[in-house]
Amino acid sequence: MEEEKRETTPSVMSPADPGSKANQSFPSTTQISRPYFTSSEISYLHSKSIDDNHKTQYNRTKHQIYQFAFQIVKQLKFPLRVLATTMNYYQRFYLFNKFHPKEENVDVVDLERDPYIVTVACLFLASKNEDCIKKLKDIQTVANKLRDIDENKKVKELPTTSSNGGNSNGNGSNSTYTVADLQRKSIMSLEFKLLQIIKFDFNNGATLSIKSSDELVTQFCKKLDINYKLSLFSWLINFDLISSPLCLSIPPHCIALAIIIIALNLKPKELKMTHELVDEEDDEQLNEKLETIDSYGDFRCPEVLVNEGIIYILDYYIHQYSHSILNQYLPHIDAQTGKEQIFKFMELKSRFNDLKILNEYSCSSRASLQQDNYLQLWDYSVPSKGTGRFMLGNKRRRFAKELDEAIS
Amino acid sequence: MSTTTKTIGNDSKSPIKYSKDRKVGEGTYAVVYLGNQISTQRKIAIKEIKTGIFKDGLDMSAIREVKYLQELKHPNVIELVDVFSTTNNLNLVLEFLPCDLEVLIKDTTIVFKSADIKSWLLMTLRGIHHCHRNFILHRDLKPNNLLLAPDGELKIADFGLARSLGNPNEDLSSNVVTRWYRAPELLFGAKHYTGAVDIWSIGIIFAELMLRTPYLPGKDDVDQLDVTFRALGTPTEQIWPNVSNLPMYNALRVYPPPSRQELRNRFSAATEKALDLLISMTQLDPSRRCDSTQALLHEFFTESPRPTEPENLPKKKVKKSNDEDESEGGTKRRKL
Repeated sequence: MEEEKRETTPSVMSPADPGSKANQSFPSTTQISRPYFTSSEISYLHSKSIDDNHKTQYNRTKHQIYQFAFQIVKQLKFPLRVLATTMNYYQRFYLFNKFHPKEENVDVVDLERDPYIVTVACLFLASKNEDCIKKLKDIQTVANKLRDIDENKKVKELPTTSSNGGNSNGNGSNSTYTVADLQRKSIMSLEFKLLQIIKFDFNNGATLSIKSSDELVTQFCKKLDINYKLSLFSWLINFDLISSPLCLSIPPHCIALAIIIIALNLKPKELKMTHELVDEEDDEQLNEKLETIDSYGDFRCPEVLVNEGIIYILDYYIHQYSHSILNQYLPHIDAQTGKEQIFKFMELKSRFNDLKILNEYSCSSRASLQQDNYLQLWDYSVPSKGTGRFMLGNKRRRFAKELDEAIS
Repeated sequence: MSTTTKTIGNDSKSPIKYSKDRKVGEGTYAVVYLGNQISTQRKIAIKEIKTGIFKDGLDMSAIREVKYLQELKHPNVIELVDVFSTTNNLNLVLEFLPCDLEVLIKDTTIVFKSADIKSWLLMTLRGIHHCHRNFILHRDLKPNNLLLAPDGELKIADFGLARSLGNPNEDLSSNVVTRWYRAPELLFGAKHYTGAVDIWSIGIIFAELMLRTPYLPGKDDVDQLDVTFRALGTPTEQIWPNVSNLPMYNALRVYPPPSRQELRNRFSAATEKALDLLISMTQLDPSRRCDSTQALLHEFFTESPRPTEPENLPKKKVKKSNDEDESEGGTKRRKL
């Protein structure tokens, strides 16, 4: 599957090049956007970007970040897809950039390393990409209020004027700035970095007509004529998953369908709801709906990607059900089985045991991952000293067919 | 004006390199250069976008341009050839399109045959049809965003205001489209609209091609309402249900809708089918306006004369030995 051409190693213009009269050499790179990674690719990347002793810190921070970003999105009245894109960017950022846990009790910190500032940058770019335009200043104000930061506090600029994004409008190095000014500077610099990380691919691998998974979940439920309770259940699963790296593995419509298949299998009876249910299908009817789902025919979801989603989601709840949002909506003990909810996920997983995941189709041995130059921390010096060229892959156009061939 | 040639994308393994030959325009967020794709000698335009130096980072229009043009590939939509980043700049490599429809409309020495107008209209509709079927609204159609390739093909350009047709419950800004080409629902401040706004613009461009002068040249936003309704009648609840609920529907002068004969007089060269299509594209009620499919299937396109082949369409007269002329056209065609 990973046959695409890559030239990530800085290459020097060949002296034999007849057209070259310049003797300077630029590093240059061509990057073909890869919106999706297998889980082994993700863990390989994380092995480079997150130190072993920071792994739990990374996950803990991510959950705080999710709450933080959610609060900003809520206060600015952005649609949920801005949150989804923010979390996508945030997690993508830490595939290719070193994660630095927040250093406590350090007076002078490099703001670009601060996960919260990274989040604001992600949210800022996400809001632009999702056509919800707000001034950075307004986003900063909300973010700083949430973090209890006095953004108007005057500070001296850091003595080390970093070369990237250095643009102090000709002010002397001794002038004072507000916290907000310094943040802005870092956010601007981070935005440009993020653009390189997403490879200027604003469609995130999907075509423009594919919406975010929260919209798709409700749309698919409607299309399948699924009742309100199950639709809400599906939507809650999606809400949990927004903070997960599943969006780095499969496209939104496949996530949505995987969720619905799980919901139709679990058929929860007692879900906390604020609205009354008008009429509910019986299990028989729901089973029938499950049977008739044609992943590719009706939803253009390659089955192998939906399976990837199903396995991921079940594992997600098996491992962290107690921390999930879903947990707050379901009773502790499932009335039908008389057991804790988590057993329902485990039982379902056992029924899907024969499903293969992408790692098993793709060449995911450590050796082959090491050979893949794309899977490295991103070197910003290449595009800043020379050129970086960014292209969309054409893989997405032939994705489905290729995957089908892989199975057969 | 810089004449130095700077090549970007020097990569010994990669055959693609570009030269930046001449600066042809500068705007608030970008500089446009003409250049060549070295390997093919294909002429290209490079839009160099300054990033990070403006107060809110990468400009929204740049994001839109990349986002939508990466998605669209069509003979009647400008091609985004490449995306580069060099030293904190973003470079968009675009197809080189030396002329635009506005230049031709204003050049009174050029005669438009009805087959020529039909050909340009057809290419515009094909381009917008491709946008609409990908759920993209252009929102800024006007003659100077309809660029012309050396081979006569018309290409829709400038996607800086484009957006995808999002969620039905989300508000869209009504402050889009250059005033003279703005559909009545936008003039009334509608927060929800569709591809019909683009069809309206194309209808007005169609009229302009026949008249050789802007059809509805309002002096300001208020005047635009007046000019529009004087020409096409004031919308009423009867012809456009619920129009009076739109935010800016008030204190309108009531003009009667134009009679067929009045339109015939105004567009004296138009055939009956041409008038039919024009009327269909400029329906005041957006839900009654034709969509791009209906427009493309209109009998106007199958009646004689056949649309002119692109290579035989009128072209801008090139003054020999005057290089400046070309660069002027280049500057003009890009509103930055």
